[in-house]
Amino acid sequence: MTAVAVTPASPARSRPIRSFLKRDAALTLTLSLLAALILLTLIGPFLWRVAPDDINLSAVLQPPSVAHPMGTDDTGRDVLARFLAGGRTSMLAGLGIALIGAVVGCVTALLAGSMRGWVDTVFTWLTNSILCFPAILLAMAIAMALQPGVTAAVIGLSLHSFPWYMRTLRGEVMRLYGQDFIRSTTALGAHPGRVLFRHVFPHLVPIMILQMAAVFGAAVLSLAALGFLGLGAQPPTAEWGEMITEGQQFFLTGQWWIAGFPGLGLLVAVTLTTLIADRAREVLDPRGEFTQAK
Amino acid sequence: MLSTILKKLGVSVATIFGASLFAFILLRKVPGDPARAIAGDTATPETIAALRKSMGLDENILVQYGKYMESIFRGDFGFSYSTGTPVGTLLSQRLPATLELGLLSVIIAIGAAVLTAGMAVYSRRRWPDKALRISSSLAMGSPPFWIALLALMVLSIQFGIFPGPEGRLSPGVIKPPAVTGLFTIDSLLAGQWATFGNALWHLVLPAAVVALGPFAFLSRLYRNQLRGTLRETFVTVARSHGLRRFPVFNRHVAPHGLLSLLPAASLLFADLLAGSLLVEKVFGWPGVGSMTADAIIQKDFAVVQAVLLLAAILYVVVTLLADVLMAAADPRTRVGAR
Repeated sequence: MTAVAVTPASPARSRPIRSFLKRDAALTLTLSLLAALILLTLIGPFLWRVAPDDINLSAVLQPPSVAHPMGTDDTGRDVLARFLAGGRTSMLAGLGIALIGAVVGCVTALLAGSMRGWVDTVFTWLTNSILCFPAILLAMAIAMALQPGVTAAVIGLSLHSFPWYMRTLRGEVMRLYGQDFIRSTTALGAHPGRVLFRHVFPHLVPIMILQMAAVFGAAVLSLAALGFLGLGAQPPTAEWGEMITEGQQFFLTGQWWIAGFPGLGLLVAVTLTTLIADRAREVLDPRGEFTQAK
Repeated sequence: MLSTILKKLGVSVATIFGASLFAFILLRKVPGDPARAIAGDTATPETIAALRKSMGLDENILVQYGKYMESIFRGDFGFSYSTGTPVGTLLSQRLPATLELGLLSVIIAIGAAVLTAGMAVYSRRRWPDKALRISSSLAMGSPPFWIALLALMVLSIQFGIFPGPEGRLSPGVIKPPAVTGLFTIDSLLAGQWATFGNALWHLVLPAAVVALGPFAFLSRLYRNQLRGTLRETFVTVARSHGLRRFPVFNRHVAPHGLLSLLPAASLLFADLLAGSLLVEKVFGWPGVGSMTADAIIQKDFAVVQAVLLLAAILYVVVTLLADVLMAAADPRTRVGAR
């Protein structure tokens, strides 16, 4: 059931999706695993009641054991507690970036696609200009310009994610406006706003979901990369990338668990997202029309 | 053909203009004050005012932008205050290392992608395809900096197959005479086989880690292309004329999909500056990526700005080249063709 909750769907749609999930075992499995991981990081801190920044100098660099299932770091902090707290930071920020990008990208795409003319030219130019920077570089520059932290990272990565949405959705909006059903609605005297929101927008939703899955995975990775460079979450806030930096020196001397587990968490979360996005693309976009380059 | 190129060129120039303006305003307006960042927290207001004046920060932002672009065209990328060297010098020192890493990783990524996808599709069994799908999903989901650490731990420190994070050459090995700046090519040109081996030995592991993500992406793309091409009628015709399965695949199917890899591969190449950033940092590779990471932590605006501009230009030029090559090779992609 938790798996269904991850797929935003209107009531009219939920029945086919449910029966579909029953048939598609691979998708159901990956969706429930990702849902479980997200749930674990969200409610985990309530189940594993050890504070993530509780320093215990008498239990430093302990390998995984019953008391510390993921071991302890160089100041005796429990790695499992930090793993859960860090996962929450990563997941929430990733979701935030996917959502902000979707909203801004959708609004700009609707504006550009319906108004055309100079509005379209300006937005296209703007998104092209943003997209020629690598995401991580742009986010790094923004983190430097603002104060390094999760907020700056989210702003920077959202700024790079919205053009992806905008680019794909704009094309679809333009295609829809050429379709007969939109033209006849307009000819019947429907208000342009009504055409836009009742008739054009619903067709964009599946594409947006596809892109959100792709953006979420990429965002979680970039966020960790920023954390790794010291530009994402600031210590003592736990975040997977930042934890890998902290464990980096111990990784090479044999204490693999400090950086090992957060890296594994990232690997599992992003791989699951990729698999889900792949499968969802086959379902929602069988003709491969909206398959984007990244 | 010419109109295609001209149109794409116009868009490219506009894009670079937009990107440079964006980077300029971002780094001049948002951070408050570069002068304060340089002078430090203890500086008096008078010192900062004087510094602002000498840096030209008291002028209109558009005037500043104009002056900046003018100096860029003169080849002056500004001054890096954290290292005390002009940015242009820094870049020319660092760029060859990144280029060498990037080139080898592109070669590895494309080679591995074409080989594995080709084998997976050619084989009639299901498991090679499944294995490719799973391994490429894992490669796409893996954080490169973590994989770099893992590779260092296992392959360098545990088994000693590859050198540790010590840069481009072992300590004590003398650099080959500079011609291209790429140590592997320079040492070959000078006939120094030992240096070549050493440089390549240092290069392989970071290049393979950088190549991981692009490999995953390209192998999926090529696999889908190959499967699509196999369904084309010309394949059926060739087979029914009595050609064996392998020659048909090797001569007709495989090259057919290669062209479609070009735009994707060009995008990935343009992204390598970012892709190698973290890996360079982990391996202590003295390239542009590790320089950028350090510059950002030091708040060295001139360096960051130059790298942003460089990345944007690289991206635009590479995609333009790919577009033109595509238009030359495939008339259907030309403007006004449809």
